[in-house]
Amino acid sequence: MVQAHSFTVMVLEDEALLLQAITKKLQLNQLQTISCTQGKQAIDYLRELENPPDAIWLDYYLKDMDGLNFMNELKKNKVWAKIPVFVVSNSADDEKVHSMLALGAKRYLLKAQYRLEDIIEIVLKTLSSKSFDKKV
Amino acid sequence: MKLSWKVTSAVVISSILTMLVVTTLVFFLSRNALETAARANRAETVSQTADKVNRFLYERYIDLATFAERPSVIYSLEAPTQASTSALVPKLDYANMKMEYWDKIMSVNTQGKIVDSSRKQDRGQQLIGVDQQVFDQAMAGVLITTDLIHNEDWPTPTLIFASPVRGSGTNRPIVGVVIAYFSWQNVVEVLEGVLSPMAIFDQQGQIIAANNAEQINTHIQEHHQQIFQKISQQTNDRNQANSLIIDSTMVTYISQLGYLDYKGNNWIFFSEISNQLAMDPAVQNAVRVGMAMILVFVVVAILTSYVFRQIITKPVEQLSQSVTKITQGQLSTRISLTSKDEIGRLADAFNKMLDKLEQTQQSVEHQVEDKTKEVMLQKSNLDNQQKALLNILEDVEEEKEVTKALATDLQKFQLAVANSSEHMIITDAEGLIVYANQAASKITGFSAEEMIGQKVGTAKLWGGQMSKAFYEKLWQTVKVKKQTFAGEINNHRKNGEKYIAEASISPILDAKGKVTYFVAIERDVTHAKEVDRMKTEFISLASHQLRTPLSAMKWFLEMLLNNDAGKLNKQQHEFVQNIDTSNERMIALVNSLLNISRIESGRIIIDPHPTDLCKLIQEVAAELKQKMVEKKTKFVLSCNNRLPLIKLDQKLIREVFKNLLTNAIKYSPPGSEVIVLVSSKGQEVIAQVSDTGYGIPEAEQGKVFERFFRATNVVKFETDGTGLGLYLAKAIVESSKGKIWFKSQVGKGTTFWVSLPLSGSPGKKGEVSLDS
Repeated sequence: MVQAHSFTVMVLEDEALLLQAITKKLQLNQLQTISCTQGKQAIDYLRELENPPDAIWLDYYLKDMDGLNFMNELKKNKVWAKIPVFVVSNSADDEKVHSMLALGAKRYLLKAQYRLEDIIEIVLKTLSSKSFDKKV
Repeated sequence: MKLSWKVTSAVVISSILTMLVVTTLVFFLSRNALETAARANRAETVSQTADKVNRFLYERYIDLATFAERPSVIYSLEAPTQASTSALVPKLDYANMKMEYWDKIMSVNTQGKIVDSSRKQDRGQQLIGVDQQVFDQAMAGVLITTDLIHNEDWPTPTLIFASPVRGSGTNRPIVGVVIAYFSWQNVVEVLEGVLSPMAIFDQQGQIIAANNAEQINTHIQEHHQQIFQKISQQTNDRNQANSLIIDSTMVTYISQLGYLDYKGNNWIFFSEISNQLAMDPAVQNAVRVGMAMILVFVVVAILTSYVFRQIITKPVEQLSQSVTKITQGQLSTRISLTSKDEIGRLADAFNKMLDKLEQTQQSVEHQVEDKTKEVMLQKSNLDNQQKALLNILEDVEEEKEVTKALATDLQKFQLAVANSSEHMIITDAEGLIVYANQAASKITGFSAEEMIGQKVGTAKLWGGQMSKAFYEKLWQTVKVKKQTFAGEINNHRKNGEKYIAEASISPILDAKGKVTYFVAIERDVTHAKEVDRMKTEFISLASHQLRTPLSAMKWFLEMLLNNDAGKLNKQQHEFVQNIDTSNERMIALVNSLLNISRIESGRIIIDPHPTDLCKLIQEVAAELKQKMVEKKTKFVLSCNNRLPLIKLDQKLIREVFKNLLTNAIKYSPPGSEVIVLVSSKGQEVIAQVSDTGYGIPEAEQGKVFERFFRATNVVKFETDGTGLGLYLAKAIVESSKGKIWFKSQVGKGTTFWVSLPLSGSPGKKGEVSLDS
């Protein structure tokens, strides 16, 4: 397990149980979490936060908007656009995947295929390399 | 009739005619002359006769005058008293008196007493009557001639001549008179000496002498009035003989007044003759001449015709004969004439013509031969054609029967098409609608009349809702490539309502491969689409709704097992592990169901990329390493090095081999071998996956690719399995244009083969991919 030093991950997941599992696991991995169940809520948070999160864990289907819309919203903000987005969803047809990735999503992962652990590892990997870049 | 006869008769006839004409002309011309001649002739006769009579009488007159001068006569009359004796009376010397002419001669003295007479009884008689008158006249000293005396006293016509006798004295006193009685018969005899009928008329119109008294008498009696009229009219030259034509009788007369010194008696000398007789000699002459001329002419004619014949007729006959021969077909005849005249030239020309004719005939014969051959050929052609036509007719009859049968058959199809529930349209090669069935009208909302004649696929009708490119592609497929187009088309009904049709459009080609019609069958799949859409929605829903709790379970179980919620004891761990296993199964099942649903809906995306199949299989095997380790499987992969890259959808093919390998591992006892061989054969690559596992019972081998099928011999101890793996694998392989098959024996093992075309899988623009 890679040690992460205070990375913040914003989690957008409309299923309460899943959100709980995700945030729990993230915390167990020493990551800060911001939980959102709705897209709008997430946007508001982004506005309010001094520092943007280091990563966004995004479920595709949110109650008020879908992943594409959210990505577009992110893109509107220069700062937000830089945040790596990990789409973790239960449906992933090529079209969706392609369009999300085209909009800048880092990875698109199928929930059912990945253990939490694996997903977190992927996120951490990305974050640490990024931070490495940052430092440099 | 022959030419020579024609010529001869022509000549002869013309000659005769000429002669006749000439003769007639001559006759008529000469008739006058003849008439005049005849008249002259007759006039001459009459004149001469008159002259003769006059001369005769004059001679007697002179005779008497001479007699009166005879001394004997004078003596006899001077001495009258002396003698009374007869013996003394000197006999009259009648010598010169020609007594044949006189009936009686008397000498009479101054007292009127007959001194002497040739009739003795008269001597001494006294004159009386006429005699006395005559005597008195003579005593006056004049020679007297009386007119003809003919009465009872004088039964015989007599002319009395009387002459005074002068004495011998110096003053010659008249001593007496001699009276002679002339016998008229003598005059008659003179007339009788004339051939032509003659008569003498006195001024009263009485015939006094005639040589043919009866004939003349009757005729003259009839016409004497005319004649005398005529005579009295003529005042001049009464000595000239004149002719009259009265009733075709020529009458010539001369009225004699006197002739020389003789004092005539104004008799009319009359001769008549019928013209005919007058002409007689002339006519006879003419006839003789005519006949002579005829003879001459005939002879001339014959001669002429003979000459003609030689010069003209003969050559012409020759020509004619030759021509006859020619008309009979002997074209080789030639005319042999040598004369240099026109006929000769004609013959020449004829010969030349014959030469030409012969040539022509020969060429004509050739042409006729040729033409005949042609005609025969044509005839045989026509015969053949006729036969062919007859055959065709027979065939046509047969065809008719066939057609009738076909028509009946056709009716069935017509009814089938007309009443089908599928929308069926038939268009011509240009896309103009020629037929639309009931269903078409029902579905599109347009009536058949509205559709027929219109171009299909336009917004005017139910089309025009797709892109131009779409229609162009459609047209390209059916018209140019002449292939069936199958696809979905968005259409709209007449009322504007939109609908989706599943269309199959096929070209109909004629024997030459040319497009004649298009047949379009469309099915309103709007409902089906709706159902499909609902299915998709359901699947979507399912994938989301089902997976969400499964994911939650998965993650929480993961955390549990990871001791993130505290360390679990052995039993807790075991239980949680079981739950996790079940959960995984459920996830797998849901995934499989979704995949199958997607596969079945045909919406799977096939995204081929050039793939190293061997490498792919390797990767799959790597993924299953854990399982292999658990089962202690011996895995062998053998690939043909020269395998080219094949266009494959990696995701799908990966799934296939994942399934096959998973099965091979799962359904073999631990420590078994799994061998994978990959090679190319012809146009395909074949991957062989064989195990030495439990095998598939023969009775169940037919169901192996069915959904949810699990062979009975493995299901007991290998509960994990959805029964969908092979079904999915088959679906993928087949949509990749490959084949999958197997061989298996219970207890021995199973080998699966997958063949894929080297040309790769065709791409498919779908909507979903597996496990999404």
